[in-house]
Amino acid sequence: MSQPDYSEAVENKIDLSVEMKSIKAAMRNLTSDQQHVLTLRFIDGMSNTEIAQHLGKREGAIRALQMRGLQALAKQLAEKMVT
Amino acid sequence: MNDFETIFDESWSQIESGQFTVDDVLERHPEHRAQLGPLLQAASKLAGTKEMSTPSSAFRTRNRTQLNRYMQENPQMKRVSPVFWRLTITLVSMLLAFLVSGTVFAQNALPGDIFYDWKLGSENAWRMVSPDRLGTDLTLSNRRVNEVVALSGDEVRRTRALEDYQRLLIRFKDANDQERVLIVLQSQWEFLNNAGVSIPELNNYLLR
Repeated sequence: MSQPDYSEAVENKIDLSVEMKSIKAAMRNLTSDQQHVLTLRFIDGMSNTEIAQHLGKREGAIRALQMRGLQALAKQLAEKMVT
Repeated sequence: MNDFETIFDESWSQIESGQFTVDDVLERHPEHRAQLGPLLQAASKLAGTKEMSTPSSAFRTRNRTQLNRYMQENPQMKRVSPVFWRLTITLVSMLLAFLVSGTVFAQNALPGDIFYDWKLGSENAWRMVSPDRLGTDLTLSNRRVNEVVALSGDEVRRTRALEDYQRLLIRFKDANDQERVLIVLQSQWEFLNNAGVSIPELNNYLLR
């Protein structure tokens, strides 16, 4: 009876862990408002309206924070890929 | 919201719901591919950390319930619309303009006129804030004398001006500076005399 091959699963898990670390590191370089908005929007799955109500800001301001935060995050992730 | 933000929001909704992949969406918007691509990739990676850290659905439901409860218990104060402020300022300005122009207009009113009570009201306010009450009362007595003369042919309306004038005479009796009072009353007596009007209370005041 052969043993199941776990090597691929382990490699995937390691890759994910590395990616998660790089995302976390990139997130740390954003402003706290940007971190907050991106977390609520893309991790917690809240809508911009809900985030605006939650943070007591206008929806337009949330949208601007989201766009600037994503641009900064994308730039940092791209730089990490290069290095 | 600008066009690009709208496209981003719609694209993200489609990716989040599993309807399309990032590549599908970029194919649908080739003109925005360069700008949209990195943002959607970053958002996808960020959303992917949700699965990596895997909070249980029960945990998320509990958090969302708590958040909703908090939001209901602590509603944000509603912002007052700028239109409301503009309207309020306009209305207050109009009210002030009405009060000022009405007060100016009322100064020429005679007893029986619609604005006469307004005139008396503004005089009372003037008297209350005046640092020289006797001087103000003497000025007001001149006004009453002018009204009495102006209404010499109308007994009913003249009576009101006379009554107010007599009230002022009673007030003058308690004034400390009688010399100042008598100078003004003497000139009023002469003015009334020339107009053929006699006020017994004024005569008594000057003779006592």
